[in-house]
Amino acid sequence: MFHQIKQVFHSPKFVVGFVIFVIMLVFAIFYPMVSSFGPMEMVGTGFYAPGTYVSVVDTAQSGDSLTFNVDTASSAYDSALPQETRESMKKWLVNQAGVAEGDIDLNDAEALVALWQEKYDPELSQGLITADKRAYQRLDEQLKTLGSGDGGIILAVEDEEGNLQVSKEVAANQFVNVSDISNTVTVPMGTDNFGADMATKLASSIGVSLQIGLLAGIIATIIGLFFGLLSGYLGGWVDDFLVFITNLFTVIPSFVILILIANSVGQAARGPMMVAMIIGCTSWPWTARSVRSQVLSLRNRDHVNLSKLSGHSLPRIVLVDILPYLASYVVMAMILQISSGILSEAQLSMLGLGPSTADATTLGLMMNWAQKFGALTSNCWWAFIPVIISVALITFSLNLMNTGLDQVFNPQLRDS
Amino acid sequence: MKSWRKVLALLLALALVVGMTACSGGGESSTSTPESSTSETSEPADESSEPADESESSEEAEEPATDDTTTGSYPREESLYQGGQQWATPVSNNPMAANANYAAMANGDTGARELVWETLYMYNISDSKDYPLLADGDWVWADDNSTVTVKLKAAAHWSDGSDLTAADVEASWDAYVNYDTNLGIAYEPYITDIVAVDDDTVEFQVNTGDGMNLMKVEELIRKMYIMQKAYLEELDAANGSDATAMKNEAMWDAPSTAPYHPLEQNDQKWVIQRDDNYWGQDESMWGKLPVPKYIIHNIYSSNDVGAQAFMNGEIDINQMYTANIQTMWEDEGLPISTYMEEPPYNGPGTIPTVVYNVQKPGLDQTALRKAIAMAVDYDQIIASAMTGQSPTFKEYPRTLFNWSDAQQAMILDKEALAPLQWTGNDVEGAIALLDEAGIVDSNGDGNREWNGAELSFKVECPTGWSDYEAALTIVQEAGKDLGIAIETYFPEAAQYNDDLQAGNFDITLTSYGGTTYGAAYFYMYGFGGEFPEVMTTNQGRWYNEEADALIEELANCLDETRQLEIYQRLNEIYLTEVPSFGVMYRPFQFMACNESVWTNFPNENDGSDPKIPPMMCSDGYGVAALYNLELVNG
Repeated sequence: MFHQIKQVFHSPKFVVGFVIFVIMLVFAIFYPMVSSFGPMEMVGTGFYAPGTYVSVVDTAQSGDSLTFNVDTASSAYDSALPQETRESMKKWLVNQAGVAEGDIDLNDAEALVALWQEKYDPELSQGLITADKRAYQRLDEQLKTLGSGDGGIILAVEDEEGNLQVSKEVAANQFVNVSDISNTVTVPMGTDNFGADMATKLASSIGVSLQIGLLAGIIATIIGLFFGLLSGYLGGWVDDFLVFITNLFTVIPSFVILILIANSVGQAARGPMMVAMIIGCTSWPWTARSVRSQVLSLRNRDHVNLSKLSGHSLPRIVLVDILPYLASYVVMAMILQISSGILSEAQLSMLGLGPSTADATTLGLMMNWAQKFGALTSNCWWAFIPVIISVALITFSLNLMNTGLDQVFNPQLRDS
Repeated sequence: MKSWRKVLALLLALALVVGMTACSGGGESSTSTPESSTSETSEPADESSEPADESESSEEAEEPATDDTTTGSYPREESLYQGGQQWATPVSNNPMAANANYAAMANGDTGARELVWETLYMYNISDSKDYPLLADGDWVWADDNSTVTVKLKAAAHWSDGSDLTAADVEASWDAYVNYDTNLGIAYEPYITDIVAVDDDTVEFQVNTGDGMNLMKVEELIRKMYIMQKAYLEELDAANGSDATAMKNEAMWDAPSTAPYHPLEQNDQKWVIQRDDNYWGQDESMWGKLPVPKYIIHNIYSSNDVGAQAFMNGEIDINQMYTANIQTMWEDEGLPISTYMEEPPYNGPGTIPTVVYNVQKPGLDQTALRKAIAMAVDYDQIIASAMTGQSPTFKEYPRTLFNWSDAQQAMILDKEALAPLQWTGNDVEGAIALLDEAGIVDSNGDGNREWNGAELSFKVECPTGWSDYEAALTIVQEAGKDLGIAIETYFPEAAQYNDDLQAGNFDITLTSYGGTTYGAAYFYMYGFGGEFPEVMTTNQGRWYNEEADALIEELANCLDETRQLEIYQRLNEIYLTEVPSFGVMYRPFQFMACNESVWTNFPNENDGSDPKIPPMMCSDGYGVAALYNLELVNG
């Protein structure tokens, strides 16, 4: 036994798969513990990009702001005015305000902005389509705030009538050390459409998805083993009958059955474990078939016949004389079942047939919500790319482990 | 040898993939799911205000006769493309049909669609006023409110050239009533008859007896499509006066007074073509023809596909909720705009409302209903479920009314309502309220009980209506904070509708779009406490004697001062008793415009007078937008 495990760990494929799997597992188990947010807690109010957010009030009110000798206006212009924006400014100036094309230097941002501020008048936008009119209006407002390079003024409500009074002025080149700001929020993977922290949610989803996969895999393996062992060992009409049922399930695409069952169970009853059971109950046929064929080759071996002659009972023969010879194969089949269970859950959830969102999140559900809220069209990549990568990594690692095991246990594939 | 085989296998696989992609080219075949995958927005008003009109969906099998699947091509510069209002093959062009499923016509409480049929008046949601279309001038109430008189425009004529006469209006009403159509059944109790006084004058005779309701009469005037008498008689003779046969007539080639006529319809799109002899080019109406020669509505399999087509400029105006729509112009620089430049981007409309089933133990307690409503985080709902496309309840404090100037002006005394209103996320206040009312957790399991039973409720909305689902998920969170088990439940839309109308739910989410009277009736009218088995309004079966009396009085009150007083009191009751509560504001229609081909769509600053509402260039006075369109490269 120990020798075999040692051998397994000599297989590079298995080790790589195992390491990836353990990393995912550790992330799933420990990240929610160290995270300051709950997996369902709505920290933000929608898709926020990954990053550290600092409190605006704290930044402004920070007592020890320092002056740096940098030109904030020019870097602001550079970031706010990419080449295409300058092109469209030029287009407006030429077409709407009648400025000669030669008078415009796209490389001199400050001159361009100065010219723009001198010439821009929303009235001149007549004849443009609404979307463009509004785009120029927005640009103008953006330039106005950028242009007032002396910084803003902070106001605070002072007197009882609610009049605002200046409490402090801030110059544009004043900076605050990030570590001095007490209120910061870090969302390493951004937030999803509900404003929940993606990292925590992802960790918790991986955990739930793994549970679903494990349960589905165990159920499918048990059913498959039961059918396969019985029909392979008993033969005769029992075999015919069980093979008939197995074939029935094989020819109907199991995903269709899965959808039908998941749909008829109803949303209210569909918890994560229910979904796992549904998946397990529909994915056993191929396990049953391959176990059966293995048993067929084992049933006429000498030790089995000996056991029969000794008058041992059917369960004993099957469990003691046949099953151990299949054990390594069964473990490998189960690994594949787990990985297909995780994929099935993701597929079901994408179709809106996943577990109800009440108290659990799964990888499939996360993708489902991201799709519903247009993460794809609004370029919120952080809402779905990490999820897709997680699904891919988990199934990849399980498959790698399976191949590694195969190489160790299957004499035909053994290297040496 | 072995590697050669591998290469061959790879090549074969590649060939297979390429072959399959080539075969599936040409894109999306549309399924026949009748609603969008993201929440319904098409006809909330119709669904809620008309009695069970989903009954004859079996009719869908009947294919339109003119469908010869030759999808003609239409010049892009003459065609206005729409999306988001039709999700399956249209059934008929018959205003009497139980379910015509044809988005070129629809008559909800927010104005009838004036494309292929016309009504006497066009309702304008921008100012809540009616503008004459086939009618000439305003309608006139008799002094004793027993009749309404409507004059017809002299210029109005049918597409076959014959004049529109009062006899056509009379015959239309007779048809609606005689053939048991939804419209006939819904309004028969309030109208004794509609008669032609002379060729140009129609008289609506009001039922002044029990159940007299002047508001309903006015509703009918702006909702009833006018059909031609001669054509109806012809059909009636052909069908032997059989009501079912009449309702099943496809009527694709029926004469109408409208500016467009059906040209083609199948499972991909429908097309309507301009009638260049349209009477409305007369100076007494529009003075010109509508600009697009064709209006084409593409049918997509889902919102995602539709949104993609819209971004590519394949459709010009799109009626779908799109999360984070501002990224289309801010980040991607597409020539896309909405009615308003800033959030909420669209105009006022409906208020998706959480309705309690007050027949359920626990929910009959006002304290519990109010506590849940107070604890819900509306800002979170608006920010995440609606991605900011709704004003907050801080900007427009909650009442029965939407945030349009017209409806807000119906609130007599805003300050008097202020102490009754709440802005949400007040968990402490809600807990205090519950504790005070004796709804407490006495067995220490973390969940409150009432009368010894654990409080546990399901909140329900149709699956796939993403903003509704997200909103209810946040309501569920509020339940957690209060110690009340609330679980979301998202069944199929048909199941949801059944549950809703039969009262087979704990808490649900629905909405009403229409007039102020309609809203009061929809959310508060309790039928004197004796509820019919199937309810299309007030599905929570809440009853309040005073509210019922006020709504009945309102129905026959044409005095505006008194109306305001009644609305004030109704709002007070609504906010005190909390039979239901709004969770966000939504427009009647999400209308986003892609200005790749057409421009000059209505927007908040377009200077139109009267204001043209963003109603997809078709509903009620929104149709006026069709006369202002311009080509971008024209």
